Amino acid sequence: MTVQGIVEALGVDVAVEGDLLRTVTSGYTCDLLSEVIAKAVPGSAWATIQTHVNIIAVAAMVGISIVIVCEGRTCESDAIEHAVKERLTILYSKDSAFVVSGKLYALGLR
Amino acid sequence: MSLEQSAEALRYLGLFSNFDASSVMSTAVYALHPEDRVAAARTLMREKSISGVPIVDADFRLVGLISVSKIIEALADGRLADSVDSVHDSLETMLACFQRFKFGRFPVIEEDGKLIGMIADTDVLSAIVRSFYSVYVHDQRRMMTIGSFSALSEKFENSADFVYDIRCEGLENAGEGSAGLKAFLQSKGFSESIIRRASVCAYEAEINVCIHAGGRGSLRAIARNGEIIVRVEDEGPGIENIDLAMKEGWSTATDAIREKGFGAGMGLPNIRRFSDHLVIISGKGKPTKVEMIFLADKD
Repeated sequence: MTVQGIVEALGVDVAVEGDLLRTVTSGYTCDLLSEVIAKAVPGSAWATIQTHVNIIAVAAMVGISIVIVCEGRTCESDAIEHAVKERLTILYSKDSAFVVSGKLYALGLR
Repeated sequence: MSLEQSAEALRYLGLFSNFDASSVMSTAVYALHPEDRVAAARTLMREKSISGVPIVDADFRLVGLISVSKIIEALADGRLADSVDSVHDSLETMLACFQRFKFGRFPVIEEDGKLIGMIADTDVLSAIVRSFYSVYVHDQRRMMTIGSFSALSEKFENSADFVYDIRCEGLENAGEGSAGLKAFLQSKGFSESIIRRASVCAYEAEINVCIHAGGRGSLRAIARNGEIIVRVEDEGPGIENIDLAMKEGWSTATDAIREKGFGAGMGLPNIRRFSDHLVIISGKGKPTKVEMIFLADKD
């Protein structure tokens, strides 16, 4: 599945449109950055409620393909700028991280 | 590891660099006057469980030392009622003995010759043990790790392959150095898995500098022959208890930091999990040095 596929399937606001052709192979849900960096696998879709610039650094470090910011939260402006630079796609979902995770799971991500 | 290598490792690690006689010695010193009786020395040694007593003059200036062996000699000769002055070792003899026997009981004197303390081998040992509270070596091959740490020192001073000065205000550019390291390792053609491990650990160490050490430090790496060595250093305030800091979930980060998803107490545990060798040198009020080694053969 590609980032494009996730964007279309979730049908939520696109905060940053990055590389839409990147492959998404797995998913991870967590707000503790150390856990994400240690356990999320490259190519993951990451569901979180964190909104600050450091999530972009974590995503870049792990090789996250797409970030879904949950609970109707929006990113801080420097996070947006950084994501644009990294060509990292960011979505805003009003759902909880639990619901977003369920949807990603239903799309076949494991 | 040879004695010479051990000495080099210790010197490099800076473990005992702050050791001087005054930090090692016992200051509660029992001393005798030259006119005191040998019998008094024997009683003192027995009651205080000590193996030697310094002899000082009226101004507390060291004039010699009487040891257990001298007491035994005096006992054998029936000279217990003599003054200790007749059996104690002169300073010259004492120094010669220390040189000859390597270990013993060292009186510590000021420039004017005044006795201010004593150093026995047990004092040295307990000072060393105390200092090891500030060293964490994650490896059963502890000596090997310290050995390699020492051997690498010059490489890092003169020719690190990757150098990044950590200058982080708040947490804004936290992780920039490790992102740079990751790109550097990719350019060198390292395998994906070793790059992942090295950059995750570098990230955690860099974040620690940003959270705990005022964002000032350095991140350096040597990447050769399929092996990666990463060293992250800062200027303090240091880790008071490294054993606690190694525990998952233990953190001194503030609530504001935690709200951002940092400070979960997973930094050092993650580093331990992903590195093959880990050396952390720190202490309260001291700089922190974290060196991580990533071996190729694990991939």
